[in-house]
Amino acid sequence: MENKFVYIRAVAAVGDDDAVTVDSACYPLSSFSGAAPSDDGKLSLFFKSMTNYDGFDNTGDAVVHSDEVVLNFLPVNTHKEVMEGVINAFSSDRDGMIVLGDDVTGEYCFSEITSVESIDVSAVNS
Amino acid sequence: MYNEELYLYFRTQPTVANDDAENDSCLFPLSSFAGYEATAASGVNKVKMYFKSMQMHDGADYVTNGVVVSDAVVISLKAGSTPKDFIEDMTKQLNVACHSKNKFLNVADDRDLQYVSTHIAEVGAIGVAAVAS
Repeated sequence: MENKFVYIRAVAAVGDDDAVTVDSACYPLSSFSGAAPSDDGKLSLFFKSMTNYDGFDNTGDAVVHSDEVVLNFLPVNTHKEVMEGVINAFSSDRDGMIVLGDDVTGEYCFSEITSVESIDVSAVNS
Repeated sequence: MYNEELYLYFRTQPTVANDDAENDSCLFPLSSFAGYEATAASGVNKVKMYFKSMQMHDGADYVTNGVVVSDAVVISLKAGSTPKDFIEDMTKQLNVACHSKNKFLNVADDRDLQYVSTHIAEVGAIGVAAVAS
């Protein structure tokens, strides 16, 4: 599992892929902390915070919470099938980078995924 | 290299069209599992399964001096089944699943009525702690 990384890109134009908060991100698979529905056709996947990893903030009285990736899919309310498809991709014998969703190339790890809705990487605490 | 992690799925929502929120269904890595707690209400045996918080994984909340607590899934057991019966069965099933290539383990699903243990009657509440902000 240490050699697997999950890649997500939420912009449609490669020229716009230039910011971590909404455009693209990559996590070690070991940072995956769970998944749950967030709407009829949306699945949220959570990852241990990239920018505040094992961090805390006594100065700014801030919070440390998971990063969130939201995937769109069709047909709606098939969260279970999408979760299973994602886990099959995580569990495949592929080493290296697993493309969860890429809105530039149209590559998705499961056929029902239609796009990446959002990537929410927490701002670094300071 | 295969991913050795196992992922546990739960659904308490019996209507698929209403399966659209974090307390309807959820998925956790087995490595987030924190323990079982036996509970009971009105003579029905229940077991609460705790997992490391999905949305506050290794997190903290100094803004509200808040807390970071585990997520939890309540499993209601069939009449005559004890928490120990369920935990023993669950342990066997987890060990079998860990050695399977399929790493998606459907633990309990109230919509498809599929349960990994014959001791399970249904899924009770799913509690995914809210993200602090």
